Amino acid sequence: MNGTDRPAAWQSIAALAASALLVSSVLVVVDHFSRPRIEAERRAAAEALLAQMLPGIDYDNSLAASFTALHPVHAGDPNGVYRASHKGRPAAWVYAVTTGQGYGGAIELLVGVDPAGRITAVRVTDHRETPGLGDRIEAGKSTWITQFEGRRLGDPPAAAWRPNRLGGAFETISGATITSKAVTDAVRRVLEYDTAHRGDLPAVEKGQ
Amino acid sequence: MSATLPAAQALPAKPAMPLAAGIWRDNPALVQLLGLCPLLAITTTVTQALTLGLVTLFTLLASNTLVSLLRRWLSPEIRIAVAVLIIAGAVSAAEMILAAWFHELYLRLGIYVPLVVTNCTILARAEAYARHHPPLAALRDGAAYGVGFLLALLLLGTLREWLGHGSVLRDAELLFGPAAAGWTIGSVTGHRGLLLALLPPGAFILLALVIAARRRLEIRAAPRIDATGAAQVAR
Repeated sequence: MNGTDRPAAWQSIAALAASALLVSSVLVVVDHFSRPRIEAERRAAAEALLAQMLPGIDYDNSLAASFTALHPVHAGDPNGVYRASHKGRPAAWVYAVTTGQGYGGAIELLVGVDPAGRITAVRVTDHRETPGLGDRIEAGKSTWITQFEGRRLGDPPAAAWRPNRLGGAFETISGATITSKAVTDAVRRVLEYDTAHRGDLPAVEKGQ
Repeated sequence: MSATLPAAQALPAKPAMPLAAGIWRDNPALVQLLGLCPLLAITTTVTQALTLGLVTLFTLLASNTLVSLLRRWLSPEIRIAVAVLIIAGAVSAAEMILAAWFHELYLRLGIYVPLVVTNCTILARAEAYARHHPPLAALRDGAAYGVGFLLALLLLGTLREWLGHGSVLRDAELLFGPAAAGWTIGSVTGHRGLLLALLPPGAFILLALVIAARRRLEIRAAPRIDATGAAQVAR
């Protein structure tokens, strides 16, 4: 096809460079118009999720802006916390935690805790559990995840803090015992962390 | 023209029209079996299938047109590099647009949007067709193969959503806006469908059934090829 009028080397170099310039210019333009919207969508999605975490809790700061990264020492320690405050006093904590005990891989959770150590809500933010079975940990697919609301360490007692299929006090998603146990355990570990370390959390509440 | 393509196509009696070639005779998904990774992974609902199909179609149109426009300057040394550059650029643009205006769909499709870059159909059309043909013909070729892939995605998406969820077009509002919220046919909640249809093995089984059905229709529709076809089977 291109035997007779084969382009010289400099022409190939120029063509390659011109193509790169053309493609990157288009991307710069698309990026310029989409970036503000992408960031707004991300922020809205994060705020919407966080807003579900603290039903019935009064707070007057931006939860998304209150995030502090934590450094997990033991498996099951949360990797970050959002702190809600009301008139400068701590109102609630929302811990982000990742458990590696899921059936399909890591499960990422948010666990909201009120000053009395009671769970306000639990939500799954990312997982790879089996569609139709383990994915019922999502709030949009079943109400299973809401059974933790109002619970605290000691209610039920530590020995019963597991799915009922394994002799505990919580419901089990049928066909997904491993998933149920992973989430149940992760929630308990967060409460234990909260009890032990809440006092150590950086006191930024006043500034926000 | 199909020198670089798998030679598994069914004995074309005469050169098919480009549209018929892309959609039926050489359908990327059902005949050439290209791009199966996203095809099998995301066709759990019609909406997702349609979105990925549109991204692929857009990329094919962009890459075919640009490769054809640049064909005089594309020496063998840089041809593939430029084609991959164009394809990656088109997919990146599509990804940003999805993330900005269809954020929920973007989250659901996840890695499979960037993976459109690796869909062999796109590079194959650039190599096999666009680099020898003028832009309009290349655009038409891209449209034919893109629509062929889109239709295969839609067919599989419809089957899997219907069997697995008991609905068709659930979550259509994510793609078409709030007005589409009522488009869903069948029940969205309370239906426990055939889980297998939503899992990867079910995707493979349904794809195989669709391929077999297409083959059967093809053999039936072309009685003149029967003798050769039979000879092939006997061999």
